Amino acid sequence: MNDHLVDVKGLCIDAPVGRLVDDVSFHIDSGEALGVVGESGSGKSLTARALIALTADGLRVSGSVRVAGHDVPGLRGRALRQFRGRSVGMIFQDPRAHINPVRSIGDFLVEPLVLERRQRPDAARRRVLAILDEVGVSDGARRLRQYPHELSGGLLQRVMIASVLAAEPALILADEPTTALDVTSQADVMAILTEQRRERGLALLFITHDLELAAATCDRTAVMYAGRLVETADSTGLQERPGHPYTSGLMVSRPSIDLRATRLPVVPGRPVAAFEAGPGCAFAPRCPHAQTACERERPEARESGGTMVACHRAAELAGSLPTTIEEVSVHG
Amino acid sequence: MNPWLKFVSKRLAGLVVVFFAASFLVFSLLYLAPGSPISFLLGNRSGTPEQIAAIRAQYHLDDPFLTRYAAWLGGILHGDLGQSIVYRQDVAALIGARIPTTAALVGYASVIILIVGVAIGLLAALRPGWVDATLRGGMTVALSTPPFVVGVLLILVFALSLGWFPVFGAGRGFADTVWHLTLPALALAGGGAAFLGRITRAATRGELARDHVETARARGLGESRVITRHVVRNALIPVVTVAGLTVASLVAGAVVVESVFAVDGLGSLLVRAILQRDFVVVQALVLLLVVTFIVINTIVDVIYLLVDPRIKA
Amino acid sequence: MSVISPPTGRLEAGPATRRRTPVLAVAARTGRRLGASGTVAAALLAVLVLVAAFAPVIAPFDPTAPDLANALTGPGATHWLGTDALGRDTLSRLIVGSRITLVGPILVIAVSTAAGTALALLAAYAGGRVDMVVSRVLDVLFAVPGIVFALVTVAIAGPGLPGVVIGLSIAYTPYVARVVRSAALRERALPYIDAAWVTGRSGLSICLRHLLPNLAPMIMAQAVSALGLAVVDIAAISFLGLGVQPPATDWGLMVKSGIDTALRGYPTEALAAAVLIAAFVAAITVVSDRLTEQAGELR
Ligand SMILES: Nc1ncnc2c1ncn2[C@@H]1O[C@H](COP(=O)(O)OP(=O)(O)OP(=O)(O)O)[C@@H](O)[C@H]1O
Ligand SMILES: [Mg+2]
Repeated sequence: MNDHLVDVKGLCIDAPVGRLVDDVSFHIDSGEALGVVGESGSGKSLTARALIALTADGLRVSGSVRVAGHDVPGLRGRALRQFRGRSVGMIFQDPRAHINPVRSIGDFLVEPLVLERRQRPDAARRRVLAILDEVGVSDGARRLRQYPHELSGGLLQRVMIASVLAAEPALILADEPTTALDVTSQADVMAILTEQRRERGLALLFITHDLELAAATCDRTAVMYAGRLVETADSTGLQERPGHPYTSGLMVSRPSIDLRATRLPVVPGRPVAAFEAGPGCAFAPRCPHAQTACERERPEARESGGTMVACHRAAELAGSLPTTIEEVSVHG
Repeated sequence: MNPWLKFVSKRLAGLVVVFFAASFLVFSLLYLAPGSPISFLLGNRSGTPEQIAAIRAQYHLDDPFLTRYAAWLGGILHGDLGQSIVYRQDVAALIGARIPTTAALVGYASVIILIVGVAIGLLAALRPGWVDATLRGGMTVALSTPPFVVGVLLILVFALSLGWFPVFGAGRGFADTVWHLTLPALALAGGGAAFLGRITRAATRGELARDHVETARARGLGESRVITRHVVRNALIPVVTVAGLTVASLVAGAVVVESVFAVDGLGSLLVRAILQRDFVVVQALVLLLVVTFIVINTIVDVIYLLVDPRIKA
Repeated sequence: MSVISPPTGRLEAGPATRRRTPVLAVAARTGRRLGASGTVAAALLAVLVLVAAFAPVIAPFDPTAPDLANALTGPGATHWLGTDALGRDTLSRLIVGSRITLVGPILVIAVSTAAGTALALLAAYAGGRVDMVVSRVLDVLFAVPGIVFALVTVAIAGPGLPGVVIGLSIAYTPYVARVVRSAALRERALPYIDAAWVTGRSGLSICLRHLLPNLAPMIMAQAVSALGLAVVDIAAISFLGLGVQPPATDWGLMVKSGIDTALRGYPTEALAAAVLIAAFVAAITVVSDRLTEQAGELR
């Protein structure tokens, strides 16, 4: 029926205070990379966590989440553990917080292989050493004996990547994997992640604040706002012809070096959570193109030619939305 | 230099300094004490000047302060703790005879504290809801009840009413000693177990909320493995320190509990010696308690270093 | 980077404070800060203070008058909690005994808190050699457990409350000093202290006008928690017969004398005194826990 590796339909996540993720649908094919972009609090991490059934206890997940043939919300016990251990791998934002500080790197890398995969300790060690080498961690044998505090952030994130690769998953979830790192290692880690993913043909869900980075590393890019997906498109297409005013806003607000504009290029207002949004389009209060219909009625996600946009005025605005601040200055 | 060697030698040096400072403090404080032991020795008799002079000479009461301190300290370093005026016996022998009793009591209480404290702390942390609420209430009560009060309550209930345990004494032989020391050890351990329980609970709760636990789950580790290998194992690191300090404080707590149960250990000896103004015994015992206290503390520091890889020597 | 606009932080509006009579307002504020269990505990302590203050008026009998005709009775209509071997009324003795039970620990805490705070501010302010000397002396004092220190001073001064209070006051000082010193060092690093230096205030004035008021909630919380320990230690020493001397009494001593009556079949005295001590300390612990949380939030 469907042969997508990841197929999410109508995903909603509710907290006691209200809805956090609202009717999100997307898919990822085997070997494909999808970037997810959006402001802080837009629900990117929650969406990624729903794919591996790691949402916090107080949250209610509804909708259909299928990953590698599994109905994720329905997984329990041993099946859930095997799914997490073999089908998906997650790379977290801050490796220093996300790797047990009092266990050695070797323990960290080998543990699930030995305990859950029943591999022999020495075999697991050899395997892990080989992968460390591939992700650019030199002197692996010594690293295995070291503790997290003895490694730099960049090195530690490579260890995290190695731990995911060692599990041989079909899908990698990377939640802002470079945000906590210093600028020099950001590029390195990103390059290694992309290279290893391509080499091994793994699918990737890549979360970032940086639309440009997402577009550069992923086949397709999805844009989230207030717990909803507002646009999903082919990365190059999205960059050339943003279909949603919010996407355009993200691109325009990018700081550029040769810009000497006096006006701060920001979309006015603050981002809202899904449950704070009115009945209409969540972005309407901040949108320069909003009309009365936008405030009243929620825009349907409309698909055309592999591009999904949820905007009442998508058809009129198509092709006219600015992609750089210079264009805004000219028009304004 | 090897950082380990450096750390240990530094700690040992600190220990020696504190030993001398504490010994000087103890000696000089008791030297200042008014009321001489002579009146005790003579009892109600008034004593001839010759008798008094003889006693003063025997116990070196006329030597200058520093001479006496040096003599005392020198004696201690040779294992000679002086003569008890009341018992007319070597203090070393008096103390030596009672060390096993006190050590057994403190050891027994330590075992109870470690097992019960860690167990209830973990249980409270891992079973939120009524189990946690009940245990926390119990811990607050146990923490607030002084050991001697617990002791008296235990005597009233388990010794007098139910008759399960003896009221007084330390017993002979292993089984009999355990039987005799059970109530005293429980009284001594109550507060410490509650304290350790609280610390264990807080540490475990804190660790449960840490990000690396999420990583372990995300990698498909079973929940019981996540708890034992990542939550509990990490949480026990701070618990080790607190456990050590709690055990060190038992040395002082034993003084009171031994008196409650009339266990003839170092504590009751100290209380009797104070009442009888037997200063030689008091000096030796206080010094022994202080040294034990700081030695345990030092050992705890070293253990902490061993169990937490984040701390460099 | 593609942040569209910085999320504007919302300021939480404080709870509206209605006009009330000052006493009620203070009571209400304290109640809010302490929570349910804390309020109950604080009320318990308040009752205890009142009982201690009016003890001679409240006590139904003369607590020291022997009445051998009524010696060793269980609880009854006349003597609610019975009498001891000398026929003295247990309830009256508990009521009057509350005074020393209360005053001893408060004295210890007052002295050690004052001394510890002064030493800590001195060390934190003078820094350098003074700080080092003070810290070393405190290290040595740390090596002596509180109750052992008190036993030493009792050995010197002879059994009785003065020796106990002096000993514990000295023994508690380093604990206060250590906590206050590190808090003072942290506080000292804050910019407002530099500002005060720049405006030419003296060290003493900065300590008293700026540092002390800011550290006060923390010192307060620390003092209350130490009060619980002092109650336990003093009661224990009294129990050993080295504290309060008869005919005066406190609850610790009553537990001791209560054991003898209990052995003769009348456990009320020991039980009542034991439960009172435990309840007293528990109330202090609960209040101190709440205050510590508060002080933590204030930082
Ligand atoms: N367990 C939870 N209970 C209640 N609200 C939650 C919970 N977890 C997340 N949220 C809320 O859900 C919203 C989305 O969170 P999420 O972590 O997915 O954002 P994000 O897009 O990843 O943001 P960032 O870029 O800052 O990581 C936020 O407003 C957050 O406060
Ligand atoms: Mg996030």
